[in-house]
Amino acid sequence: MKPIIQFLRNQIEPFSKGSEKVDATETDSDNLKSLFINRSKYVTQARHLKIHPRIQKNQIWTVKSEYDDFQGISQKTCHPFLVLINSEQEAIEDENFTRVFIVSPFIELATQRDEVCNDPSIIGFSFLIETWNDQPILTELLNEYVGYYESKSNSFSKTEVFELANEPNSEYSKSNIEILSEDQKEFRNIEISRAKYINHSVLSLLSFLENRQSQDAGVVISLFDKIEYPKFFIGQTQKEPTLSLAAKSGVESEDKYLLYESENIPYQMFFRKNEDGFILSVHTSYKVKLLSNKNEEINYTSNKDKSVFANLKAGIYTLISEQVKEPIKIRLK
Amino acid sequence: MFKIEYINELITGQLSNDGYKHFVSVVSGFVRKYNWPKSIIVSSETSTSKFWSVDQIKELTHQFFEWSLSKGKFDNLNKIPESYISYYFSQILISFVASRIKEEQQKEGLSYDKNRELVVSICKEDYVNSTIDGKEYVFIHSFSKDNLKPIEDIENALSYLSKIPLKESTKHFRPLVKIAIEDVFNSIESPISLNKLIETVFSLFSQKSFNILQIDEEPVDKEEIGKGIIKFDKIIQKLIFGLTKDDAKMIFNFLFQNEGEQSLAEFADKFNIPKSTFHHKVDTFKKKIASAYTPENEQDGILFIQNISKALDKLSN
Repeated sequence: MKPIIQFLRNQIEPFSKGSEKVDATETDSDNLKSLFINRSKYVTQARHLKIHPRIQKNQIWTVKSEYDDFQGISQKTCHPFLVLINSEQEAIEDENFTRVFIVSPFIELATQRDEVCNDPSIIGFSFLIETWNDQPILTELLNEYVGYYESKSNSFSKTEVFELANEPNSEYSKSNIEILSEDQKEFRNIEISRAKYINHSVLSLLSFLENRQSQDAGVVISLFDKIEYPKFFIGQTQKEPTLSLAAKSGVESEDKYLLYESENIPYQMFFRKNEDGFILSVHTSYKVKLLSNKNEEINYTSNKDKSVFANLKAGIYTLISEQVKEPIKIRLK
Repeated sequence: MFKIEYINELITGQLSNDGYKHFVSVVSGFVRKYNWPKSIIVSSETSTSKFWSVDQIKELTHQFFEWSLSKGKFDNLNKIPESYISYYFSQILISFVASRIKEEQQKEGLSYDKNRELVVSICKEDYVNSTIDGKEYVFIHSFSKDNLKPIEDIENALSYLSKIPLKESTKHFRPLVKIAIEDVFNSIESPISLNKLIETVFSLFSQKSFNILQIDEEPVDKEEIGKGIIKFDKIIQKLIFGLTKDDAKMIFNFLFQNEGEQSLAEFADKFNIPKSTFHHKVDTFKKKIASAYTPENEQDGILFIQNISKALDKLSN
């Protein structure tokens, strides 16, 4: 099983270059082609339907192979994930998340107690449900619905085995815990480690909530893969995050704002909030543009000193300016 | 990664030359990256070079797709989201290679290190270990120097032990090693040095004798063959079940009438089928034999082979 371990441990390269160097005759390709001729069933079958049902327990989904985490740092995986939803949706401050089991096509590394579905009609091939690899995921990462499967297993952390094994002085672990081969142990370690890509979505959100600047709002800037939280000011005084940022019309006269200034960028950014959303002021005479997460350009007003983007809703934005080579990611919440 | 456009060409039976080159190139990339051994291809070539030739990569590519088709890996492609198909093809390739390497390891038998680890662990748990003249010995009960037998007597007793076949489905070697150790002690009835025991048990798991189909040149009594027909009838019927007349003819010619020692490629040409398809058919048949039958002794094995030969000949005419 070493090839599987090797494969999972390594990055997958595109390998797309170099095929022109292969010396092949028509007979070579005809030989391979002949294996697939008269197998019209592969062609006539309807393709996978891209339906997007409401996210529910027991559904199998693909996961986006790239995402910006809650703090704007790009996350990528070259080994795409399939997951089985294992709980109903919940929310942390309006951000939906659920728990999932990782689904692996490498059934060769299943143990006798592992749950393997040998029915290829569900997702196209047999698969192993990694009930020992139960992870939280933000539902916005779920990409395509693949199929429905009712797992017979519970999360390992909810099982009797787990409870017994974790009791103080329990003898259970000595007698009943499954003995894994070296390959199976390594496979599990790799899979659990790989799944950080998935649970990071929630961890990043929690980190954002912990570090946000005020009770009712948070802004984080990501530039050159580093994150920074603009500082919270009322007037000229920096404040702690126990206060709220939003200005209520007619009630407060003090100027409340988040200020971002850094040696990496030659201008300041001010973030204010009112009942219509966030207002971003970029203090530069150069042209800037702000893109939504759908790559749509946001309208703005400007004068010779600054550009102002108003009515910004919570979400992730990209600021592009002539003065900074890299795009700046901004998360507003 | 495999390009989706060429995957579509392949599964619709419209593979272009560029598509073919792409598949060979991707497989070649994997071979180089992971340094896969050449033994994963079923091949009649006897080249000892550890470097892969382009033809061998093509052969591997072809065998990969044959294996995938035979395992029904493409039967439900429509269920797989397009974003996952390229990865799925890579995954099948990896599973194919893992299965081929496993098969090769089964042929080789148990690795020496694994065998040593198991023998030492079993001896510690189930047997009496004692050091005599600085050498570690093992036996079923307590013993002294007086209980040791001359090495010639031990060697002689061990020479009668039969080899232990390993099936492809064998996952856990420990119970088999336990049996092997019991066989050794039943045979020698004396203490044995731990190193000699490890060496002996390892030799019992050599699978070479099970993998080489040899027909002894000595004529065998016709009456014996007749008895064999009845004895082996069920197994042979199972083995030849599903073979077409042409398959039987090809396998019979290759395995039993290969007097001129023609290569597999030459046979493939003769029967006008792709070389790898021919490999696959012969290899599958050999594996079926290895899993269906274990000879009681040399004579029994010869008789069995002769009966298979006869059955194939009959089917092919």
